[in-house]
Amino acid sequence: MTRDLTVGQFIPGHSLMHRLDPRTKLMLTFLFIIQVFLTKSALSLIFLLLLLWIYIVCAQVPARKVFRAVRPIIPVIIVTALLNIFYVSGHVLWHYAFLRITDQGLFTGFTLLVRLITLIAGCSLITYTTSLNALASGLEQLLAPLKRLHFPVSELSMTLSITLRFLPTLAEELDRIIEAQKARGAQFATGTILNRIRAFFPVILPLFMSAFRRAFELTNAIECRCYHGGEGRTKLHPLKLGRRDYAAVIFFLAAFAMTLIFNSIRQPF
Amino acid sequence: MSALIETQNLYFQYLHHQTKQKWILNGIDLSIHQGEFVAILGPNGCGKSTLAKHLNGLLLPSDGSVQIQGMDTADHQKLDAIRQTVGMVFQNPDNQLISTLVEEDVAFAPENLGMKPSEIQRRVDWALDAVDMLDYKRHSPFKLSGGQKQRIAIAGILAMRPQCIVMDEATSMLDPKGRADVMRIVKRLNHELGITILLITHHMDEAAEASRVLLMNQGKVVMDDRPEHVFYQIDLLKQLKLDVPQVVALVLRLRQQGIRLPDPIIHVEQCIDALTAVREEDYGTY
Repeated sequence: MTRDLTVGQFIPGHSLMHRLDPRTKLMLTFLFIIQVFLTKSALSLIFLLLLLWIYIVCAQVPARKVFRAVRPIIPVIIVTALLNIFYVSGHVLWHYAFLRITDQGLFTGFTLLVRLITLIAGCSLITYTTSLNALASGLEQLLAPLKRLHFPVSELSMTLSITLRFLPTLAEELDRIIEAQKARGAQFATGTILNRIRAFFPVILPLFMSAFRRAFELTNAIECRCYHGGEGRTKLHPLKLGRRDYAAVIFFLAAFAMTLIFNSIRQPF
Repeated sequence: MSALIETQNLYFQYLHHQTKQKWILNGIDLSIHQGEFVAILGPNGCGKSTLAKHLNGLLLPSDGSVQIQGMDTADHQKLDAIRQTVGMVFQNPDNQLISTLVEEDVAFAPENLGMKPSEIQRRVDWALDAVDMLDYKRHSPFKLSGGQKQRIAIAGILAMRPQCIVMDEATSMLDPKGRADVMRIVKRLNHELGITILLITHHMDEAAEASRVLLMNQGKVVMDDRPEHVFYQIDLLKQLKLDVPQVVALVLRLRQQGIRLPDPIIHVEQCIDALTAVREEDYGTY
């Protein structure tokens, strides 16, 4: 059940993507998301796929892993694409009762499918190539201006990184509790919906108890290591923007512009 | 020279002014000197862990005081200095690791202390080397074994260059191999670096490695002596529901059988040597 959990699965490495500054990666991911949503024409769609392929190669992450991140949401993507096929108006290709498939609908549905898959795959690259601490400190630095407004940026970034750090631990724990309750005769997949919901209380409760116990121990442990908020903290690897980062930004901006150009070129669709 | 850790008349109970419950720590006077290896034994709920948490200001005394190198743990200004002097390793390694990269985890304490990156790096490398985990610097801690994770946790404390490390049942969740590895490291830290070790444990064989054993019961220190003396107080150990160490049990049985063994035997090696000596003596009579 928790096998598909891909959040926070950093794959250590030395690829081009790994060595980029986390701030650059966060900004570029944001740019990439906008780019994906602006992709409209067939030509820019092909260009987008080409880009994704380049990014995967640059990240040196096995394509298998990238698509494992996409897998859990494939049903959602397919339903969304299907709805589009039937609802968009255009030249009717096929119809039965109230269902109509148009050429435009087919194209929009297909575009959406590709765009969503590219979106998730692209975003998974940043978690695969950036350690959580780097991600958190990147975010901390990007949000640093908010400190002036007394917004607890460092604390937020610490909370975020601890949350991500404990997700796999708690997922493992959840599996263990479910197994333990099953061994005691608990049934999760039978009965009415109400019964099924009720069956999860013996799972959720121990999970919460254990999470609190862990939280107490963790608090002691980080206090022992002299943690007192973000003030005066330094970093083992301070973030430094290099030539690599500027090159990456230029590349991404150029790619962004290309998408806009490909969108405006007159095409059959 | 004053003691590294000194508790005077230490009493503790959570919210003691509201609840009238009996003390968890019931008047503890203790002094521990630099370089000692102290084991703390006692039944569940006797106050071992509560005592440990007083030694670097995680808990503050309800009455009495705790001094670390002359610094009072109640003095909020000195808390950082105290925590750098006395580090603590807890039971579950998973709940102590805060990063997904070994190196970054060990760096956590020096980062909090605001050190320069070059100094942090030097300390991280030194601490990982001291626990034999330097090769795992760029690994994720989650793929490591329990013993390895606990050694990373020790490195995370070592990076503060403490005078003393308190191990609060730090081996109790580990498999035998992991336990042996952690104990080997702990002994080395004590012998080679002169770091004071306070080992809270349920394992008698671990306590046998110590140079001093504190026996606790109901919030009091009931015995404070060398392990070879403590371990032969069979009645006291049984009364506190503690195991008699296997070697001691064996020695006592052999004595009942009329085999004369010299007095303080608490290690397996000592036992072997003594038995070999006895056998050679017997051969000598033929």
